[in-house]
Amino acid sequence: MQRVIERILNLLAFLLTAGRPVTANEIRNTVAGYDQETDDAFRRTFERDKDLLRSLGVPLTMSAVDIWEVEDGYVIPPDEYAIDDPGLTEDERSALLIAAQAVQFAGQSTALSAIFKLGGASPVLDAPNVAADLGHNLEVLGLLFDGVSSRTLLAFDYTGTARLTTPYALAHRLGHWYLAAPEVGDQTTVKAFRVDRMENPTLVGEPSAFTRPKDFDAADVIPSSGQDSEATSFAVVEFDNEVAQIAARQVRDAQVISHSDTTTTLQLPVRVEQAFIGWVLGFDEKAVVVEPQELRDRLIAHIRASA
Amino acid sequence: MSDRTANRIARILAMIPYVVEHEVVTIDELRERFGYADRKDVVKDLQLVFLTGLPGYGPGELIDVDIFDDEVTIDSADYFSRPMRLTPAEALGLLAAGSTFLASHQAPPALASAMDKLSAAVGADATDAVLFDIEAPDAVSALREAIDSNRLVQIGYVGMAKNERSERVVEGESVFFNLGNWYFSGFCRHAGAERLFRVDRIDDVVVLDELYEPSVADASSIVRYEPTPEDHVVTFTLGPASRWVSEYYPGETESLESGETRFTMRVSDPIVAARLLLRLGSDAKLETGETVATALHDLRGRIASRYA
Repeated sequence: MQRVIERILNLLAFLLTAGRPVTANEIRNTVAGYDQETDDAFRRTFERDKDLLRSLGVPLTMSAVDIWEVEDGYVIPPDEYAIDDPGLTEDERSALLIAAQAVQFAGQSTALSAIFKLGGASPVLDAPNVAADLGHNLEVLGLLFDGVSSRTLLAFDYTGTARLTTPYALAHRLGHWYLAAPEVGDQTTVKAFRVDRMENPTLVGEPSAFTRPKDFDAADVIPSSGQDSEATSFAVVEFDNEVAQIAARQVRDAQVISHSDTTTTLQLPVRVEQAFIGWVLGFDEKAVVVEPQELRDRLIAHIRASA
Repeated sequence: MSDRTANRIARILAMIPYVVEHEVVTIDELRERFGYADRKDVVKDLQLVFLTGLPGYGPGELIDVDIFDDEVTIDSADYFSRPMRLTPAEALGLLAAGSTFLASHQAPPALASAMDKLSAAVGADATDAVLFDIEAPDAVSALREAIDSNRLVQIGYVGMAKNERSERVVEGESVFFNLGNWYFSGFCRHAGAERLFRVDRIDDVVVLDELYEPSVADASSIVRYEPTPEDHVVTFTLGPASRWVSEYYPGETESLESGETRFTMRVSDPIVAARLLLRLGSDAKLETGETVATALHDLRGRIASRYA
C-alpha cells in the first residue's frame, strides 16, 4: 500500500504543478512509481490511480495537449482542486463534527473526510445526545447535488419512464427527499420527483448546461404539509381536552374559540379539504366538526363510504 | 484499490495543508484532530509524505517533513497547501447535517457561523439549490435540557393507539429525527419499560428536580417496526389516489389488473389499520382481517354517534 500511496501523491503533485495537459506517456516517463514493465501493466495501474483520485474529488480532466488537438493530456486545475481556506474557528469545526456525527443518512454518517478536509476537529466529549436520520443514502444524494450545483443534465427512470431533466433543486421535506426539475422539452413545468422512486440516476453531458430561473424557489414546488398554502376556508372543530392541545399545535394559525372542563373548540384554517377530513378523523371520536355544515356533511359521507 | 488506500490518501492530503498552515503542530494534535488510532500511524503517514514530491525527486524536489521533539513542520509542498474541495456528497452531507442540527434547537452557537462559512466555500450556486425543511417542535429544547442534566421529565402524552392522554414521568435517553418526525425515547416509569414518544403528540413538558442515573445502553435512533407473532394481518385494495400508502407503510404490494393495488400489512393494534382505512374512505376496501373489520366498525360507530 505504501508504494501505491507514494505513487499517487507523486502523480497529484506533478499534475497540480505541470500547468499544462500532460500525456499518459509523459507521466509514465516522468513520475516516480510508474516503472511497470509492460504497457498493459502501466495502463492498468494508471487507470486505477485515476479512479482513486476522482473518488477523492480530485478534478482530473482531459484536454488537448497542443493547438492541433492531436493528442489529449491530463489536467488538474489547482483552483478546482482546492478551495480557499474557509477560515473556520476551532469551535466551528467542532460544531460541524458534532452535526456530522449526529445526522445520518439511511444509517450512514457523513464521511469524516469532509471534516478532515476542513482541518479536522478534536473529538467532542459530552456531545449532545441528538440524532437524526435523513433517510436516503448519500451516494445518490451526492450525485443529485452534483447535478443541481454544477447545472448538469440528469437522466433517471421514474414510474417506468425514462426522464431527462434540468435539475433545479434538491429538498428534504417531511421525511422525504425531492428533486425539483423540469423535463427537457418542457421547461415551464417544474416537477417534484421523489428521490426514493428514482432509478439509475446519471449525469449527462457537461456542467453549466442550463440556467435556473432567478425567481425559482424550491419551496413552491416541493409538496408541503399544506401549511404553507393559503387557507381556502375555516372550520370550527370541537376537541376533547385530552387531544385539544396537540391538535392546536399541529396546525399553524389555530385559534381557541371556547374552552370548557371537557372540550376545547378551535377555529382552524382549511387548506386541502380531503387532507383536513383525514386529519380530523385521526382523533377518532374525540374531534367533531361543528362548522361549516357542508364540511360536516362531507365528513359524514366519507365515513359512510369507508368499508 | 481498496477503500483503505483511498481513505489514507484523503487523510494525508487533508493533514498536509493543516501542518503547512500552522507553525507549531504536535504528533498528538494530529492524531486527535485527524482521528488516528495511534501516534505511530501519524508518523508512518508523515514519513510517506517525505518520500514524495516532484520529478527529479532529489532533496530540492521532495516534500520536506521535519519531526523534531514531537513537533512537525512541512515545507516545499506549496501545491498541497490549500484544503481540497469537498466532493458533492461530502458537501451535501455537511450542509444537510448542519441544517438539521440547527433546526434541532440544540446546536452550539458556533454552528450557525460555521454553516455560513461552509456555504460560502461550497458556493452560492450549490447552497441556493438545496432546501431543508425540518423545524423541530418547541418541546425538543426542554426534552434536550432534561436529558443533558439527567433530570426526570414529566410529559403529557396523547398515545397513538387510542388517542388517550396520560401523564408520564420519563428518564430521557435521546431526542431524534427520523422519517419526517421527531421522537423522544427513554425509560417510562409509568409503563416500567423503554418507550418511544412522538414529540408532536407531547402536549406538556415539565423538567423535574429529581435526578436519575442515565442508562449506559446506547439509545437506538432508528424507528424500526419489528413484527411479532401477535400482530394482526390485514389485506386491502387501494385505488390510485391511495397508492402512497403502499410506499409509506411497510408491507407487501401486488398490482391488480383493475389498476388497483392489493396491500398486506401487519399491525400490532388493529385500530391503527382501521384508522387508516377510515381515512382513505371509499378509495380503500378491506379484503381480509377480522380484527381490523371489527375495529373499523367500532370506530365508525363511535364517530358517527358524535354526529347523530
